[in-house]
Amino acid sequence: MSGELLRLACGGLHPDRVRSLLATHGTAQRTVAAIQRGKVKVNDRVRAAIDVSAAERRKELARLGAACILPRQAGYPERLAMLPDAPTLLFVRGSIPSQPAVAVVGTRKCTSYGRRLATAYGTAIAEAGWVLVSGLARGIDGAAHRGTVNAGGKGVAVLGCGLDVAYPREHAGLADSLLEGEGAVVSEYPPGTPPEAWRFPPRNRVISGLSQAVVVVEAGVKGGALITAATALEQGVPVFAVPGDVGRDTSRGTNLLIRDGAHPVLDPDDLLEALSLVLGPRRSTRAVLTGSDDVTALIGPGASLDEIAARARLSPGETVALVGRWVAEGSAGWEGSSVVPVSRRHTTDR
Amino acid sequence: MPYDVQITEATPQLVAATNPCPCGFTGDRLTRCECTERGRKRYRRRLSGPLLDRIDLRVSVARLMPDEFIGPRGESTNAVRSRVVAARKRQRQRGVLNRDLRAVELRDMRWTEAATALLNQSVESQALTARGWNRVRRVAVTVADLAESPTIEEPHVAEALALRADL
Repeated sequence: MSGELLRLACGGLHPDRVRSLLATHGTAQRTVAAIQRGKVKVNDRVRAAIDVSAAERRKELARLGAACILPRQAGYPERLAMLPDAPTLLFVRGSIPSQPAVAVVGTRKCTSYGRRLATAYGTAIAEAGWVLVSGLARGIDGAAHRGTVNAGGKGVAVLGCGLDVAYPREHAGLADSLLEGEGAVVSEYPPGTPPEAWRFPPRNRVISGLSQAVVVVEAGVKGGALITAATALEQGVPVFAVPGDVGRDTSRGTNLLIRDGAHPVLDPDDLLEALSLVLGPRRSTRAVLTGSDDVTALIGPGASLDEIAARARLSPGETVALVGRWVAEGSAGWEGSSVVPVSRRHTTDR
Repeated sequence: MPYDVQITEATPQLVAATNPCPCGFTGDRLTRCECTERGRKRYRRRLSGPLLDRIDLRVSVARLMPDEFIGPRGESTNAVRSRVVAARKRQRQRGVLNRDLRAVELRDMRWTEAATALLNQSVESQALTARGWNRVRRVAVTVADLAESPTIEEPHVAEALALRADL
């Protein structure tokens, strides 16, 4: 990448503006020169940022372990490059895996039900040998990423801020885990870009653009997840949605999607079945349900001690001991008065 | 501001109850919980980890279903009481009540191999603190006492672990 292009990329101009300037002036050299001569009006902050040398910018990226790549350059996903509104540049930490990718997205204000499902989908996708794409947001996004990390799979997080900005803060560790798992964290915004609401909708087209399918787990009628579903539709990416109670806010969005033609999915296996038609056969046929088999069989999505005792025909003492064993091996935990399955590896989510 | 400090020796017994979330219906069989994950987290944070760590028995209690409180009565408190009295007697004969067992004394009790293995496993999976570990062991000894078992066996440890519900 030419030094001028990198300076322009890190200048903090809106990506659309960068694109149109490049179209008008032909090359990055001419664009930067035009800005420096004052022929193109930009604010002082941008001007100062563009004056920073390319060598300085390269050092900055190296410190982050990040690269800045262009469409058609190695490492820039082909699918994304084919979009009419493909990001002019992509800042990438790690490298974007080449396997088929599936996005799992949803609301930040999720219920524990949605969180559990998102984790299960994240795990199932990883175990099928596919890549999970999401937005590293609180709620569903984070839970899906967590499911992938727990299963030792590869994931890509698409940010709406700079790669050096830990947002949301509690997911900084999750981003590192994605990188350790040979995944990637990407953004079309240069380092230092703060998280601001208006930058989040555009990044959703990148999420769907990187994916061969989009799964919406829980979503209200407004919000990023439905935007992702809409961009997926524009891009011809199939949309799947998890149905929920008709009266519940966190399921209104997904139910609407289903009414409008999205494929309903009932469990991870359902999704894998449908996806293998699109993506080809999945890698492994390992059980996708988390927790050991007897746990899953006895408690399903969750059960009280009394229910477990009745199903397993055990005395209260034996039931409690059984649950204690599950707790010790990390395959079940408490949620209020219910015992619920826990994904295989211990998470540090609380 | 001057004030007097009076130290009064006491061995209090703390009994407390809490809802699992702001609306109280997490995990309920009849009513769906409408809390968000964040709301629940914020609510849980009000009970600090170090405080919870000092609470030996943390039991999740499910809603009673109609046939449970209308139907036949369970074991009477009196019957349970006689077992508790017997267990406390065992403990006194051994020396002190289990609450006052020190770490070395706990170590020297008769744990079966399987019991120790389960304990060791839970130290990691439950991220037990040293205090938490001692407390689980004391509860396990009590479970064994109630079962009139001279050794502390794996089911006793498992029960003790299940009585430490995380909120």
